[in-house]
Amino acid sequence: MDIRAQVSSVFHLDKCIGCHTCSIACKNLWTDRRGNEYMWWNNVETKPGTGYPTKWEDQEKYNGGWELVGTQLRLKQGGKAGTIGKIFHNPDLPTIDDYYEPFTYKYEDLTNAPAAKDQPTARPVSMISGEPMKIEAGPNWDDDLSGSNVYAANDPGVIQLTEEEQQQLFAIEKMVMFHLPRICNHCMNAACVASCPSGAIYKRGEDGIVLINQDKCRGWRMCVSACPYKKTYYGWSSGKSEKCILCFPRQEAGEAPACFHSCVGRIRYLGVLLYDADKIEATAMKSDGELAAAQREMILDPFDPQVIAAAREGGLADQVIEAAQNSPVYKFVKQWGIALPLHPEFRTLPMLFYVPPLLPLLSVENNGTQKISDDFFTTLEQARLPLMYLAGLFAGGNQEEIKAVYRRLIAVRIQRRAASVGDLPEAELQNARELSGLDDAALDAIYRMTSLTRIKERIVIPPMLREQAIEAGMDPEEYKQGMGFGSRQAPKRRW
Amino acid sequence: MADMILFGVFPYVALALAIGVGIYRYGFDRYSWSSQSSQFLESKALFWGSIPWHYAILLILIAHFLAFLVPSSWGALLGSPLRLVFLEITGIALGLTTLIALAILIFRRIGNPRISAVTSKVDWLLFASLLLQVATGVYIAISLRWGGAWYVHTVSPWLWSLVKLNPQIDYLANLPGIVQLHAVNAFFLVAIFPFSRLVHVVSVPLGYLGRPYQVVIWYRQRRNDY
Amino acid sequence: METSGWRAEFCRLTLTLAFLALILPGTAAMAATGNDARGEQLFTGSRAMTNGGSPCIACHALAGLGTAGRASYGPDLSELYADYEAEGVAAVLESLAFPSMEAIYANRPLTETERLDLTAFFARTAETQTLPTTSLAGLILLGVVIVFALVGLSGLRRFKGARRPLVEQARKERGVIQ
Repeated sequence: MDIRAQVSSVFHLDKCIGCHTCSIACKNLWTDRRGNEYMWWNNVETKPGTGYPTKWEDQEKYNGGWELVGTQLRLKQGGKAGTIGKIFHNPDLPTIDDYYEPFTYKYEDLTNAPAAKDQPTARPVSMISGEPMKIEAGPNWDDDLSGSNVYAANDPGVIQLTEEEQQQLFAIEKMVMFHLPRICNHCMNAACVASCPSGAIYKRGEDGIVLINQDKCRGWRMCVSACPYKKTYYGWSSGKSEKCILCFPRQEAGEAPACFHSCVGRIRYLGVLLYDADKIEATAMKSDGELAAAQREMILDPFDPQVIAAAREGGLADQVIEAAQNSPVYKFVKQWGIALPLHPEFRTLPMLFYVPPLLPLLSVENNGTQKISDDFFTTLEQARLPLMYLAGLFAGGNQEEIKAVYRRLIAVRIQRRAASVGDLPEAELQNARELSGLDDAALDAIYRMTSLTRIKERIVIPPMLREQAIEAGMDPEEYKQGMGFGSRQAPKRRW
Repeated sequence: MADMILFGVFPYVALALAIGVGIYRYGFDRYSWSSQSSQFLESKALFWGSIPWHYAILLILIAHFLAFLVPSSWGALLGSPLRLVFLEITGIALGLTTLIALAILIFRRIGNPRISAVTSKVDWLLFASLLLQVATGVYIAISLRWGGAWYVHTVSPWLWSLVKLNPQIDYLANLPGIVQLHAVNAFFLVAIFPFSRLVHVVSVPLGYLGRPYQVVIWYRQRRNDY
Repeated sequence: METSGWRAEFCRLTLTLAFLALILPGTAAMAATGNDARGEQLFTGSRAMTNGGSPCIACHALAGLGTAGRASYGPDLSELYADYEAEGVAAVLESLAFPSMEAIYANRPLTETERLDLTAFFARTAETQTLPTTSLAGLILLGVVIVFALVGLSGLRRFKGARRPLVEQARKERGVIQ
C-alpha cells in the first residue's frame, strides 16, 4: 500500500447559478497576460452545450485521454515514440479557432471620432494581431443555451440520445439546462503528465496538485491534446503551456483557491482524500461503467486505524490525516456517495467530483394557472434530464450510478420537507430513506453540508507544511524555482 | 586576411557565442527556452511546412555530420557510382523539400497576421539566414556536383582542422564563393542559435522514451520515521 | 568572381598540359603500364587512394561512367587522354598543382602505381567522349513528391477544427445565421 494524500474538490451542480464569478476571479489572478487571454483555467459551461473548446468531450475528434489497447493503457493520441515523431506538428492539437480569438474594442474611436452624422463606434480588434476582426466566438458563446440549435444540439452527450429524447430535451416547455463549472481535475492518472516529452508536468507528491514546470516546458504542446478535459492551455505568446495550479500559493498560505473563495453559490468544497497509489493503473483499466465505482474504491477511510498506520508509514503528517478526516470531499464522495467524477471513461481518474443536478421542479401551464407538477418532488422517472445523458457525463454511461445518487438527493429533499413543513406521510419518507440507503443522520448531514456550512467546513485545506520542505541552509528562492510556478522574471517572451 | 577571419576565426567566435550565451540563457533564463510553436494560431499551412522541413533538414544535417565525423566511411559509402548517384538524388530532393517547406513557412509568417504578430526580429533574421543556407545548399548540390563526395576532402578536413585548433583555411579559401558563403552562413546560424528560438534543437526530448508515464515530485523528504 | 577564377584555373591546366605535351614526347616511354580496372576503382572511389586523396569522380566528369560520371565541379576529363596522351596525363597526376586541388593533394599525393592505373583507365575510356544526357531532374522531383506525399499520408487523420466546421454545418443544414 502506497498511501498518498490528494487535495480534491466537489462541485455541487444544483447550487451553481452560472454567474462566472469563479472564472473572473481566476482570470484576474492568473491569466490576464498576453497570450493567456483565451485561457480559462476555470470556466463555466452550460449543459447541454458543446463547452469550451467546442466539443471538447468528443474524443473521437480530439483524441484526448487514455484508451485500453488489449491489456495495456495507452494515450489515445499515440505511444511515446509516436508522440516524439509528431513533435513538429501535433495532429491532434486544436487551434485558437476552436476556442475563440481574443478581442477588445477600439474605445478611443468613441472619443476621437470627428464630428459626423453617424454615431462613432468602437470596432472590435484582435488581441493577437491588433487588426479589426469579426467576433465569431467567445468564452461562453453558448451560455444559457444561446444558439442551442447549433451548440446544445451538438453536445456529444445529446447526440447519443434517442431522437425522441432529444426532441423532449429541446421542447420549449421542457427546456432544461444546468451549469458545469470546470477546472483542472488534478487527475491521479493524468494524461497531460504522461504526454509531456520534456517531463515538465508533474504531480506534487504531498497534495496531488498537477503543475507544469515553466522552466522545463519547451512548448511541444502534447499536453494540450492529451488532456481530455482540455484544461492545459498553450500560451501562444510565451511558448509555454499553462494550467490551473489549484491556487497552490494561496493554499500554502491557508487560503482557499480563488474560484472556491469567490463562489457566490457556495457550490465548491475542498478537502483531502487518501488513496492507494498502487491501485492507479488497475483502476484506470476497469470497464467504462465500472470506473466511477472503482475510483471510489481507491479512496481510503481516513478513520481506519490500518489506513492511518500505513499513511504514517508513507510519510503523511498527522495534520494531513486529520484534514482528511474533516474532509467534506470524503463525505460527499465516499460516505454519502453523491458526488461523481466527470467523464471517468477518459481514464485519467479525475479528482474533482460533481453532485449531479437534480434540477428545480417543473411547473406546468394548466388552464391559465401555473401549477407545480403533480409529484411535488422529482422522481427518478420524471427526471428533468435523461438519465442517460447524466450517466454519459458522470458515470461512463452507467445509469445505476446516477440513479443511486438521485435517490439520495430526493431523500434529502423529502426529509427536509417532512422536517420543515411536515405535510408528507411517514411512509413516503420511510420509502425514500430506504431507497437512498442512508440514515436520517446522514440525510441531515447532507442537508447541513449543502446549505448551512461556513467556509471553514466547506473548504478544509490541509497544512501544506512548507516549513518542512526547505532544508535549513537551502536558498528558498532557488528551491522555489525548482518546484512550482515560481517565475522570478515576467513570464513573457524575451529572446 | 579576410579568409583567415571568415574561415579561421569566425567559426570559433560563433561556437563561443553558441556555448557561452547558450549556457547563460539556460542557466539564468531557462523560462525563455522554448520551441515557440505557432501551431496553435495556425495549423494548416504549418502542417505542409513544418513536417517536411524538419524531417528533411534533419536528414541533410545528419549527412553533413556523418561526412564530417567519419569521412572515410562516408567516402566508402559513395564509392560506387550507383550509390553516389542515388545519395545525390536523395540529397538534392531533400534539399528542394526544405526549400519548398521553408518557403511555405515564410509565406505563412508574412501572410497570416496572427503569425506575424508572434514573429520577432530575430525570427526574421533566422528565417533569412536559413533561406540563404538552404538556397545556397541546393544550388551547390545541383551546380557543383558531386558535393557529397568532394565535401569529404575539402570541408571535412577544414572542419577537423578547426577541431584540432589548427585552422587550415586553404581548404576553403580555394572553394567557389558560393560554397564559402554556405560555410560561413552555417556558422552564422551557430552564432545566432543562443539568441533565437533555435535553442529548441538541443532539447530533443528522447528521455521521454525511457521514463514512466507519471511523474511525481515530493517537495518534502518522504519520512518513514514518524 | 569564382567563374573567372575557374576560367583562369582551366587555362592554367591547358597551358601546363600543352607544355608537358611539348616536352614529354621525346622522353622514354613509361617503363610500366597501369591496371585500368584498378584505375577505374580509384577514379570512382570504390578503392581508396593510398594517401587519402579524393577520388576523381567527386569533381570531374568522365564519359563512360554513366550518370555518376557527370560531376560538374571541375573540368570535364573526357577528352583528357585524347588531347594529352599517357605521358601528359601521368605528369599532371604527379603534381596536381591546381589551386583547389592543391590543398587536397599536397600532403596526399597519388602514388606512382595509382598514377599509372588512372592513366590506363583514361586510355581505356578515351574513345567514349560524349556524356550521357539523361536528366536527373525527373528523379529529383519524384523524390520531392514522395516526401510531400508521405507527409500528407501521415496527416490523413489530423484534427481539422471543431468549432468552425460545426457552425458551417449548421449554417448549411438549417440556414442558421450564427
